Amino acid sequence: MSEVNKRYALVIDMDRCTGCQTCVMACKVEHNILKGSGIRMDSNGTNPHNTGTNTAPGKPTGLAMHYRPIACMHCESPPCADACPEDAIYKDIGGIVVLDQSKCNSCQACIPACPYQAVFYEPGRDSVFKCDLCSERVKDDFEPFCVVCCNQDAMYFGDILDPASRVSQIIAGKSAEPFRAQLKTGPGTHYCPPRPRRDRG
Amino acid sequence: MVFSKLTRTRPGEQVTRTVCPLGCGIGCGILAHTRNGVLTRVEPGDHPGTGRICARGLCGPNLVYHPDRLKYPIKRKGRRGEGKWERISWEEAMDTIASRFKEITGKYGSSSVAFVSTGVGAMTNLLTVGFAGACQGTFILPAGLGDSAGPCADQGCFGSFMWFGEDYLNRFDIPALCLVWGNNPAETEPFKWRRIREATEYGARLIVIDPRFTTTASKADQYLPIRRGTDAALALGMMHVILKRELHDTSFIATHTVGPFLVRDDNGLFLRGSDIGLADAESYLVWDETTRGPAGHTTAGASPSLTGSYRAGGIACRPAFQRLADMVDEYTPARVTEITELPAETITSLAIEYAAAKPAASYRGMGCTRGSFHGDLSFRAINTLAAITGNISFEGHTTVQHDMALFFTHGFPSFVTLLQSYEAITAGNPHPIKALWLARHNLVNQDPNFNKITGELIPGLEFIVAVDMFMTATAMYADIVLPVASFYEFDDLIVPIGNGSHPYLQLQQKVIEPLYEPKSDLDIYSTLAKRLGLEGYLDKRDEDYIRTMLATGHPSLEGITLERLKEGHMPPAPHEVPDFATASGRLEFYCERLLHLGQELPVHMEPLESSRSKLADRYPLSFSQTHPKYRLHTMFTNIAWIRELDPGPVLEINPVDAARRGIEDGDLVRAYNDRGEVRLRAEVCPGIRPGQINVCQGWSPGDYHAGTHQALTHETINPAHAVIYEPNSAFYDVLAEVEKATDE
Repeated sequence: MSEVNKRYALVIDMDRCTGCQTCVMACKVEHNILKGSGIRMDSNGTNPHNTGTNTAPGKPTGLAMHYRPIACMHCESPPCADACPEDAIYKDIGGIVVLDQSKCNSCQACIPACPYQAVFYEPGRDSVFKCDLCSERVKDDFEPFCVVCCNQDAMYFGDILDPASRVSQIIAGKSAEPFRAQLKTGPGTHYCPPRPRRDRG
Repeated sequence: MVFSKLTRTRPGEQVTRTVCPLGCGIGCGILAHTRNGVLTRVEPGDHPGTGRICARGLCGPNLVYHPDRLKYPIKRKGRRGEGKWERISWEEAMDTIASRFKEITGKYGSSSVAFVSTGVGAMTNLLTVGFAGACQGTFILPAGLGDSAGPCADQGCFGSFMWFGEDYLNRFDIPALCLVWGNNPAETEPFKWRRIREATEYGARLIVIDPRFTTTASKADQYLPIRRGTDAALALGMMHVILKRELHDTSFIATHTVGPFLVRDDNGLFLRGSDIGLADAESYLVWDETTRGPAGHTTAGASPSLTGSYRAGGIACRPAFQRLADMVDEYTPARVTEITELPAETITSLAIEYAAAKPAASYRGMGCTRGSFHGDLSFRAINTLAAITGNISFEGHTTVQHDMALFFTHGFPSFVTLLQSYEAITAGNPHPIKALWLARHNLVNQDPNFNKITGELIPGLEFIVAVDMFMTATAMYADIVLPVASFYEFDDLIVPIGNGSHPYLQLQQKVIEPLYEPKSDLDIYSTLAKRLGLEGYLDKRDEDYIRTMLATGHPSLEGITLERLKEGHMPPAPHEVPDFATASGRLEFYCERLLHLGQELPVHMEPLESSRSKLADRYPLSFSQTHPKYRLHTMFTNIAWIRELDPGPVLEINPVDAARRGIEDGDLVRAYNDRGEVRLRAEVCPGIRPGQINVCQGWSPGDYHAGTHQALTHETINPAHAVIYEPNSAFYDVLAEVEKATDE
């Protein structure tokens, strides 16, 4: 099957995400990561309930909490690949940004290059690591492991260039957008925004 | 191109369908991968039927192969709690235990040997109760550990078993409104949350009532930060508005509740046939508007009155609904605002919305039942609110009736409730407890009043055996510690436990051989039984017992076999269940048995340690210890991968309360009251209501700078709970003060 005209990506529904970090753990399990994970859980603030004011009894204003799992965005023009002196990072079939561990010399130049902080040093391998959308699974037609495990069916995987694919339909139906598209790296991952809540205290 | 969610096996791997049986009450299906007898990884099994996996469940292998796992029996060498141990053989361990049990039985009677067990597996739990019975010992009922106030309310109202009362309130296909009371299922009960989330995606409004802004609250259309322990008052205020506006469902009340039953003005008891000399002496009486006289409640053609005041056979009486209306009349929105600190217009609009929503589903959590000493009244008020608006579901009541008596072949134990066990140990009431066997029960960490446990209970016990996978805060105080098999190392039957979770039966399958020397509970008890001379007790294999448990002949188990469960989960077979298993067969919002306490109706009572009590002058902050998001009680605190997500305890405190005490985010603080203290870092966050502080529970004393959160809690017994079911630990009905601290 031709993968040339495909662009595989995650679509993540922030309305459904509860920040349970099952995806974070699934990534550690699938890739046997000693410390860290290909996915991190971004939330508004340093702790889960850091937004808004709640000073008078019964009258909080602006309390809000959201979670955004962040993994490699599999950019159209990945800055991490540009930064790699060994050409160990490249765009593979299906648009997947792959890090070839055999070429990586752990110089870590890619880590600050990624504006999404999606590349990290992994002490268990003594090398850098990033999400590759479980390309070994995808080659066998299995979904990435985080998508299989997602506790609230908030993660989808598929070809965002195919307008008939489920992910494309979800992007259209839920107005999903890339995160910080203004960085112009062409991120593939799309996020469905939380639906607006009426009269929340 | 469709990608598969099906499990992907690697060469040489075997996959077994088992279950994650941990106590979050869900029982998610698990596909366990093994290679050469080693558990390599786990994946979610056959969802969505039985839930999905979570970060904890994925760490199952990390528990099994944890380097700190107890490998062989050990006995204490130094003082209790000193942490000096000596390896012993199973023979020596069993010989010692048998001889100490015999010795203590000889001195104080067999009931002085007590057993307590926590866990989910049907066989595992029944084994400990059964073994206590075979020894003619005592079994300590563990539901008082924060769980029993719910059943106290629901057994009274619905006649339901354990946590199945929740099903009456939210088993609707597509509710129009989801009202969540003191519950955070988005973090702690993912299966329940999935149902709520799906309802909201179909258009249901979601309203969350909680002193703490949780992930669940963040998903809500409306969030009501109620004052801790006042949920009953809010429900009563809503009923006030509903009755004033006549938005209640009279037909449902008349048909399904005790609303029309006449209650005597003189003694508060239901008026019965015998009171006025009717032939049907036991019949409840109603006032028949057609004949203008009393009639048995089953009388055909009668049209029972719900309101008014009558004289039947010379006895003044009112329908129970009238008594409810009279009581609720006092809970005006203005008064309820004063109690709950929620705006009066919010209470009114919530009541109107709730009554109009068809149907409105309610979801209740331990924030209600632990938030107040009178948490049962909160649940009863919420149940009554649902009853008078007809928001009661009769769907999905599929309790399984497996054999629960199979291990009682050699007798029954004495039963003591968890909170009563304190006095049994310290004062011999109702009888002395001198030896304690703790099967996966972390007494020191999870039971109330740490300083009493370590200062009075532990010293009051002559012999302590801990059966666990790890050296817990409790095992540290034991005289002998026995290593137990993990849930990947023995078979068990996992039955549904209600509380809004799925109804399936599942098999916990032995996936690998136990590592090192641990034994399963069955092996441990059967070995000890021989030492104690219990001939023929526990001489079969676990599979035989599971077959016996399934062979009750009850219609719920028709067609369910061990072999079929090996393939996957199974729902109970369809069978008839009564609408309500109460004495009257109806929803009993009026409870005769609580008349002597003035709680026949679900009134609001201030918490024992109310933020408005005299005690609050010294200790103004309400302390709670909600369930954690990434751990399960103490479990998983020792898993490095989980520690990455949840590094350690913090005290959540509102910026207003923090500023008043000169506390900044990250400061070391000391929370304390007359019972004890805990020192930890502060997390200053607006999500916690002013006046409320919180620590996500489960951390051990060693995780704190000093003390422990359970040093703040108490074990006061509520007599109302004792009447219906068993007394609950009011873990969040606790006042404390906080100050900046230093490290010693």
